[in-house]
Amino acid sequence: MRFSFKVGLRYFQSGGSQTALTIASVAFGVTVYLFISSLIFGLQSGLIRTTIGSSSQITIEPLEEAARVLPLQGQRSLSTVQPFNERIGTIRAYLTLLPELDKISGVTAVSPVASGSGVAIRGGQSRPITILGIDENRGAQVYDFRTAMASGRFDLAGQGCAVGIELARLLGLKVGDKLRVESARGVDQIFSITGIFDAGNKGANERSLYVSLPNGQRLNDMIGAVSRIEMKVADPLVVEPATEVVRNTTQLQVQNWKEGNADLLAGLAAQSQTTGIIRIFVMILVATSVASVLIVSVLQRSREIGILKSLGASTRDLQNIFIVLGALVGATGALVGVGCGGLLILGLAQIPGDSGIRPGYALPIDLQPTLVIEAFLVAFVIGSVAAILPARRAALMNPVDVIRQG
Amino acid sequence: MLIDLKGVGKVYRGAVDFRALTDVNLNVDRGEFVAVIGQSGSGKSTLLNIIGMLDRATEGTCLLDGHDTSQQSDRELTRLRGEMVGFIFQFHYLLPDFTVLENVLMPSSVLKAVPSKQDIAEAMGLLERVGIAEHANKLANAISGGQQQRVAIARALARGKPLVLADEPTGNLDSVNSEEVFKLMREFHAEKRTTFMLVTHDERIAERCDRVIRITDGKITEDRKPRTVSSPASP
Repeated sequence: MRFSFKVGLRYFQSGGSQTALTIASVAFGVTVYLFISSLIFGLQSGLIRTTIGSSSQITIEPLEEAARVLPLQGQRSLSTVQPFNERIGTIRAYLTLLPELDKISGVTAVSPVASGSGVAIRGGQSRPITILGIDENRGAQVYDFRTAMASGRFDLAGQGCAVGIELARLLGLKVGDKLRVESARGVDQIFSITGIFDAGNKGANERSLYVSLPNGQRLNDMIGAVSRIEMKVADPLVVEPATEVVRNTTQLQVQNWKEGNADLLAGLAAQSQTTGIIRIFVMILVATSVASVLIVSVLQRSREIGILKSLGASTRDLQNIFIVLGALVGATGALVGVGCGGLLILGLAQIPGDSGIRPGYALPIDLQPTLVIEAFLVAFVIGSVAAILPARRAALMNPVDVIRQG
Repeated sequence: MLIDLKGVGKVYRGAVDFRALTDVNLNVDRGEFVAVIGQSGSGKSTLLNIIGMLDRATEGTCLLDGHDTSQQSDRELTRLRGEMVGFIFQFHYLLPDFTVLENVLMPSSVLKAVPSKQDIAEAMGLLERVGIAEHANKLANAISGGQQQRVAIARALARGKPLVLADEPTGNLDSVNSEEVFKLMREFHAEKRTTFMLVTHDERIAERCDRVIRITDGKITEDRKPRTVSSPASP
């Protein structure tokens, strides 16, 4: 193999413009590979972050109540059952459930929520709101309030509350103001605004009002109970195993974010498929570039192949020479592509603008080190594999024919 | 006996089969300097290629230093060729991307990738002997045709190979270079007792060898001593 490497390396060094063009072609392919992959990856992770990053990924709710039909003895009956519209189900055993849920593998946050509808009243104005009573510490692990605070801080102690930025604008609220809240259960209370947040979602910003869990339970008339439990997992894309364990543990109604976002997932899957197709095209580009230059090289060097055979080089030696050549072209092209392409992509990632996904930047590029390594390995392996056919062609050349033709 | 051919025949298969050699019987002892002559297409090069294991006979047996090359695997033939046979071709066929010295070292490199100091010393000695030592580190295509052919001779002799097969080694050279190349081969033959088999069109060159074999239409039609005796000192 050392002999093959030595000869392959020399052929690579003396390849001139032909080899340089192939390296450029591979580098271009690697750049496209990196750009498309980092763009789609950034887009997808941004979408996931925006959609579920600061919200519950597994939600536990009470089982729906249904009216039972009482059969009349000895008679047949035809009945229509209507669900309860007004009754809010609650989870009463949440305090015993929480430690169990905390222990589930992959679960990073568990937060009980006492929620219900209500009205925020200030001056002559009132706005419909969702009153969310949460445990401040547990809730902070589900919602990223630290980065979401537009002003003030997320402090729900005593009569403190935090409101969405839209609600604050509509009611003219600022930190320190008083706000009267009246729940749909007929309970009202005066709160003090401690913080105004931007949840990145218009609906949430317009309707959400966070209070402490005891205040939420009192306003929503669910003392000792909660309306749901929200959870987060370490890897949102692999939420299913934890969901299954939660289902088995609670026997309640459990839904993960994927089950509630089928359209988003379908969109992400379509994006992944498109990326995959583009990647395949890029791989074909790299493979054909390397293979074509090696086929030409084998033809140009047919005399030398004959001479090397006459000097005692084996079929395997000759085959390895051209595989080494292909691997060197692939590796160099990959290095150039990773270097130049990586810098180009990092430069593009700094263009200011508003992609909607990556605040402050025009392109939602996310260039991960693993992607760079992957692109390098793909080009290297494809270059080596693409060399096999021309290499076999070289190895099987009849030295008598090629020497005679010379 | 170094070469022993018995009933060797070669047929090239194709749309129309072509018989290149018919019932060739030939013995060559170690240290002989043999010329093979004949018209173009008579089968001279085919004979050389079969002896040098670049090609296989379709009939008969070919023994090289006791090894029946018609029965050996391709891998075994490759090994044997690397150890025993040096080739000199009409168009010198050096490897242009390698230096003159690397070309002479190539038979060693094929066998063990990194030539030893002894291999390098031997290669430099051969280059000095053929008068190219000062060009040792030049690329092979940076020297003249005559010089390249001398490098090819040095390469063929590297690693002390017992047999050198030369196919029209002077066919592409002017008369001065032809003479120098022939003289070199005779000198090496005299010094090292290397066996030379030399295919040539040039009857005058052939008559300065120790033995002349004529091939006509794939058959040996003449096997004789030269008509004028040559000597390395006065070719």
